[in-house]
Amino acid sequence: MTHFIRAAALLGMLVLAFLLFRSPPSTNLLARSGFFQVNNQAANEVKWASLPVGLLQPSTCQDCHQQEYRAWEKSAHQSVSCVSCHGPAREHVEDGARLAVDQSREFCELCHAQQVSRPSKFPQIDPDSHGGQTTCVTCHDPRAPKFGPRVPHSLDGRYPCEGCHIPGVKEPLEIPDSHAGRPSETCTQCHQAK
Amino acid sequence: MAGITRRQFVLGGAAAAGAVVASRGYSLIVPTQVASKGLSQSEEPSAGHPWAFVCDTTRCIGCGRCVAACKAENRVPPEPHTTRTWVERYVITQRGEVFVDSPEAGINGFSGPANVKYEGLEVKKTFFVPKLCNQCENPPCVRVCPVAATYMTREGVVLVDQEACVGCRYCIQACPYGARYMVPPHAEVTPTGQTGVADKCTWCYHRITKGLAPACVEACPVGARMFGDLRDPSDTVAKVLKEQRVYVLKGELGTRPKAYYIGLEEGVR
Repeated sequence: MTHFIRAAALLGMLVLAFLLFRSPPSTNLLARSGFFQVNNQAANEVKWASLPVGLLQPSTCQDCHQQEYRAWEKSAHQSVSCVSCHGPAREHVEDGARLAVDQSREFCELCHAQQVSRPSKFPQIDPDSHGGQTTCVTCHDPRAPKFGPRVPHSLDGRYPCEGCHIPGVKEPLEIPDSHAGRPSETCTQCHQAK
Repeated sequence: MAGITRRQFVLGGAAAAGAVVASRGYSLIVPTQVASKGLSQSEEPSAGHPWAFVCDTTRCIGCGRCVAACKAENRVPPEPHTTRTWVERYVITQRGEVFVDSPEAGINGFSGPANVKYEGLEVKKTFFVPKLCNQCENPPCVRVCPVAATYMTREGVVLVDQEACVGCRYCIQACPYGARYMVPPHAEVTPTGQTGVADKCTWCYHRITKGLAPACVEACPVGARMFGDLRDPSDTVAKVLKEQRVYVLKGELGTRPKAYYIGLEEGVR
């Protein structure tokens, strides 16, 4: 009988040991500061926290650029913060340094060039066929990107487009009045002839 | 072993083991859940950590504005490999192969369709995954530092005291996410003026302590990066964590990350 009790006790201890070491005892004591205590932690936290804020929020931009802000907050670009395109604005606010905005096609294409990895619902263009090689901002207002050609241009010298697309006539296609006053460009810089 | 019989030894051992189990409680016997642990149930030192980060991989477009914003905001050295945050492009083929790339950490976007590089392969799925420091509740990088130069603040942000750092790179090895880098010895642009030291994402500690969002969150044009205070139930991130199915990276390591991901796929590490 004693043998059975001993065997059972040993088995019990083995089970106990298994349960104990299946998950190692918590070692969270080390999680916060490693092997040693950090001496100047408080001072260092303050140091990190006191670094200057460079990227400003749109609410700061609104203080001066109210018109732009109003256009932007209603546009399809409302989720795009001012600083995403204009860059960090701290120096601009502090000492009036000019904010250089990248107006190249490549910059817009960072987001809007067609890519299979992008969510299909996200607005994307084929850089090779969309709008010739004109910069995007010629036609699209970055603060109202969904509304078509924003720069009014004249219709002079736009042969042969003008042959069919007559200002003020519905058929076959009316050229919008907003296209007045742009002497040096041709239609095909923005529009693809089919 | 004078005076102790085998019987006494065995019985004493059993009693000691029993006492340990009784005192440490149930949690020792039942393995702790790694990823799904809520703030309220976490043990020290994580209790009360207010901040969390969410990356939505279903929204990320891989434009790299987050990387550019981070570099500008935190004076991160311009080299591609010295970066606090980056964007990875995942390409998963029909055969289940997983390809990852991150050209120049994604700061200049991902030009060209992803499958050019993987021509001949049938792409099943491809998407972008933003990466940054997970601010683990159980950070391996803190444990290994031999000079106590890195630590976790009470709010749960892991910081580096760059004046104390000796540049041994042990923490860079220890981080399973590759979130740490060395400030090059001759760097002109540095986060704190110190060179030859380890640096990492602080979730923009100087911004979040002022109630602002981290720079990458501010710059993200599609809301793929979210940051929030979990103590505020109306906070976006608190809502996401409550309502969406979220994952953490390498949860099996037990690091308990505080950066959560929406829409992760098997194979993303």
